Amino acid sequence: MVYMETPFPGLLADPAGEAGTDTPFLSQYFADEGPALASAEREVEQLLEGLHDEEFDTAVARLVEQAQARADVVAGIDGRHPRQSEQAVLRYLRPLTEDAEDLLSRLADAVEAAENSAPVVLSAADLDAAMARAEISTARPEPAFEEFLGALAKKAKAVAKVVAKGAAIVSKVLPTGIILRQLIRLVRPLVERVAKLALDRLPPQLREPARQVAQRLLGRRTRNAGASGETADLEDDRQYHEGDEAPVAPAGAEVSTVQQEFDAQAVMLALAASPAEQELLLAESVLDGRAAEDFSLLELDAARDRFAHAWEQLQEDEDPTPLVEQFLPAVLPVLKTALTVIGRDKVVTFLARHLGRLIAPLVGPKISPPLSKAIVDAGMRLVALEADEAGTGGTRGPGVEAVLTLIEDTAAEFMRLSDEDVEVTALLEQEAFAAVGRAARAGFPPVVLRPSARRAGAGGTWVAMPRRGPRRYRKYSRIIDVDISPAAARGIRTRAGRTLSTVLNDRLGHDGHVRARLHLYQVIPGTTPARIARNEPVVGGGAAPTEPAAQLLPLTREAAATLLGDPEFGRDVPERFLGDGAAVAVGQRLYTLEIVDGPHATGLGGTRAGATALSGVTVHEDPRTATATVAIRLSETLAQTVAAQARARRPVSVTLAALARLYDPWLSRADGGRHAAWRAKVRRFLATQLPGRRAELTAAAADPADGLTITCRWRSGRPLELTIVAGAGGA
Amino acid sequence: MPDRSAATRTQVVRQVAHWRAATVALADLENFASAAAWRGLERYLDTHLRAQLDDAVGHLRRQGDVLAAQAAAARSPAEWEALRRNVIKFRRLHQQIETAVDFYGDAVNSRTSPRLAALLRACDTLARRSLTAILVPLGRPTPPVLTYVDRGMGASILRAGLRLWDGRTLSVAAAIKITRHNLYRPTACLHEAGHQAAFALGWNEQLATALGRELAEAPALARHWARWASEIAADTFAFVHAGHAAVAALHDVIAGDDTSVFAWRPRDPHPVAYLRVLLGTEMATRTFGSGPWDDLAAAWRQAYPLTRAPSELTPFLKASVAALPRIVDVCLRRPFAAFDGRSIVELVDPLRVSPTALAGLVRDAGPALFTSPYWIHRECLRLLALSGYRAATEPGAATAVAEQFEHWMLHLGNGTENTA
Repeated sequence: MVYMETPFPGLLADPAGEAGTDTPFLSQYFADEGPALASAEREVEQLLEGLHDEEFDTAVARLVEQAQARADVVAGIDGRHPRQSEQAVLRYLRPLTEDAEDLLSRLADAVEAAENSAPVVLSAADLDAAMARAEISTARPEPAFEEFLGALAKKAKAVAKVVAKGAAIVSKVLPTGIILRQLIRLVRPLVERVAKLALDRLPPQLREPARQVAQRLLGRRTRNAGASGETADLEDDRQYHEGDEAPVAPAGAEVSTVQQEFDAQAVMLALAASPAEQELLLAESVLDGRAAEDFSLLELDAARDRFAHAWEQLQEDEDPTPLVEQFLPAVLPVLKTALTVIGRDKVVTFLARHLGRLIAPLVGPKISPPLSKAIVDAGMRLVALEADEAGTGGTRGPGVEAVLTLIEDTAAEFMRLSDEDVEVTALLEQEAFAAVGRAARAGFPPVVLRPSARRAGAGGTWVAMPRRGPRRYRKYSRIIDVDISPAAARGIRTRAGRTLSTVLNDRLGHDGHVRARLHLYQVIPGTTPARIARNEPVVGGGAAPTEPAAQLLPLTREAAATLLGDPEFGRDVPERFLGDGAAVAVGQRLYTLEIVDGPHATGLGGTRAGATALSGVTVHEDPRTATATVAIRLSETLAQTVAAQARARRPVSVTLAALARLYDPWLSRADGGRHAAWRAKVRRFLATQLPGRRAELTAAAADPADGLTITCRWRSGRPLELTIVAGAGGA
Repeated sequence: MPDRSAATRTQVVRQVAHWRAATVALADLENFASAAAWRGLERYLDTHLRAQLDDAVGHLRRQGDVLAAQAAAARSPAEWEALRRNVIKFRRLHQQIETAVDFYGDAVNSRTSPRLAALLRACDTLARRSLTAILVPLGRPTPPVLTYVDRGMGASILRAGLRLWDGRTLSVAAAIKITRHNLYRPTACLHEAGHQAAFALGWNEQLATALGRELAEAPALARHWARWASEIAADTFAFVHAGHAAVAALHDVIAGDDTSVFAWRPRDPHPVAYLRVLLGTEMATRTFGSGPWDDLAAAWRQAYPLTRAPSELTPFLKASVAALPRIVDVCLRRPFAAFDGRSIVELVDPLRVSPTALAGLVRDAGPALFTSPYWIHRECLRLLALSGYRAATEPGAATAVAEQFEHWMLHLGNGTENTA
């Protein structure tokens, strides 16, 4: 058996298995855990960066979408039967597990054969060649499987390179073939995570994988070495703060956590000193995985049903407070809260009483039907809901839906209070009054509200959707006609710093005045863009969208002010929920546009004969190597436009202006304006470099790849570099 | 004596049951076209067509319910006799609706393979885009278009907005038939779309009047050219969108023997074939100046000398040829109320498909013109004009041109695929 070198001098115990008797650390590290952990964390972070692959996230996202679609269909048919949904998901994913394990086994076979026949440690090129001989294929007619297996093979190769990198330095690790074979053990936990994600059972956690891995490895060493300190706790931070803003709750776990977890486990396997250590690490991972299961969303679904059933039985003048008190505890776990247990209990009691008094007039056999009718008349027919749907086939009446919305939205706002605020009763009352008012205006048609409580708006109401099965998002009952001028479109920021103008141009070739129908959605626990797209044919322009998040744009206060004339209609959320990924926050509002062109309306998926990449900007700064990179990705539309300008020998200032319209807003505002200083640098850089690079620009645009990428790179002590490559994913 | 009333009742009740059961089969559209073929439509077209057909069948079903109620209530011989007559009417209505469903089912079902479905979706897009160019600036909606393939030499259209066989349902989509041989040069789609545009705008009648007035000094000329107005309108529409490609493609379809080229059919809305090609080349000359259409016209005259035309037709043909420049001016440059007081060239500029402009497009777009989704989507009509122009003027590169054409057409069609 050939042992290879590890990248971590001193981090690992002697591979001969005498861990526990000998510290791996240099004396100063052992004396003070802090620097060791920080150093190890940095090393692990580099390894994890080397493993990270966006294609893997994309492949996992597709799997989750497919699995979740099956689960949702079952849930819609049978009502709340989580067991059937689970079975549908597991049935779907079972063949993938087999194929993935088989793939890794063949890769491991190929590498082991190469290692056994090689007199020296295999280089990265040798590993590539060995693994290329193993075929990636699946007999299943499922594109999502094929995509995932391709990404998994790429991941396995990346793991092999991590190990090979380590072999170039000092210390020892296990052979690559053995590590790859151990990766097979990670397949089932990975697929289980995918299943849990699809079933809304993965808790929305924010993890720091590098720290985790470093702590786990370091913690074991210090424990084994008899240090007095305990193993550092793996943090499970449910709080997400951005600056001084109140915490927001993600609507669900993020797809990226699947890759993060897998990579962390793979790195631990790669760095393990012995097979025994690998077994321990794997066992711990499995236990952690089992513990990380969250049924709070399913419990909320059940609690909604119980509330609705009890509500329908309430008599006039009967106090609904006990119902609210029983319901609220199911709402809390899906929301982020800064409150301690004591704080929460106080809020629940106060809120239940307050809400109970407010909604009491709305209950009873005489009031509920007119309330339901008022809501239906506000436009619920647009979402295929009729008043006589109440109570049939798994649907709830509009009246009780509106009350549930009121309670949940009020609770969501309330749970953002801190323990200190809760101590001040007057503050509680003030907050309750304001929160209930806002929730009522959102969920009830104006006709049932006092005139002073009404807000000028589109006159609709938010309807929980889908109408059969668990509610997973809300749709505004009115579709609003809007006229968007080019100037207005340039002023509306959408995802990843893009303006609406960029989106319309990229996807539909529209750069003039646009008439459109605006569809509005609100995020609740369990919302994903894919779920909205599956239930809303307008998302994606009539075809099943490959990137549902790209067609659901954030309705910020700024966007609402421009599109609807009412900033209050919008919701501002932290930057991380404004990226291209599927992460959305509870309470966030989204919109999509149907561009009107006669009877044929086009959604933002467009009909672009295959072009999907959107324009965007990425900035990457690496202080360690003193390198900064700004990558300007041009959609196919923009790429062809600038290429045509170059071919026609138009002044380069025209192209520079087109590029500036793309990067300027992004650099000015993304990440809180952190990159604003790059605007001038990029402008100067392009002005000096681009004139002589027309041929590259036109060549890249002629490539069949979707779009192109212009990358500006600054490296300390080296000349500026400008590269132009085909494809809008390049950087 | 047999109870005639009972006999009538038995037969009528049986027929009511039969025809009501037959209605059920109409409701399942996959009895008329496969699921795969339906998926070969763009989703919005699928939705529109199904809604239309479901509505028609729904109406039929409700009429069947009325019949059943009448059957349950009928008591007297007079009532049974009335019901018998109603059954006959219902049967006729059933056949009419079945004809409509069958027609569209056959049209949809011609999308027999993914490749053919993609090509036909591309044709849908080309036809619709050509309509949008003229209808939207005039504030008119663009109807959905369903293109299908069937045998024969000529294309045809069932226009959107027509009452179908049941006398009640309006066709929601323009159904354009193209021939298999024209699938690779579908300028015929544009001609048929021209019929739709002219119908929607009332241009046919106005063009007929204008031609009649322009040629008033020669009553026979005026009468026949006015009668041909609808086909001339469609040819003009195809020309402004595709230029020489439309003329060359028309030539290839109607270049038969002397008999067919000089055929005179009193009730045929089509101009005499001999004149039709020369009308096209005259449009090209008066729009673009000199070009390959001059050779086409010369070759046409050489292949079909007037000395071989029927003697009674020759004076008319000569006079018509002499009048072609004026006829072209009427078609292209005369303002019409149908176009809100504008000429057709003010709405769709044929100079965009001149050889010079097409060469400029090739230069500006570069090699990506036939591969980039951006160019294909944006310039599909001009790509059609360019492909047709090259097919007409570069016979040595015919295979390469055909392959390139199929490549971008498939790309255009696949970009509108219904993946639901």
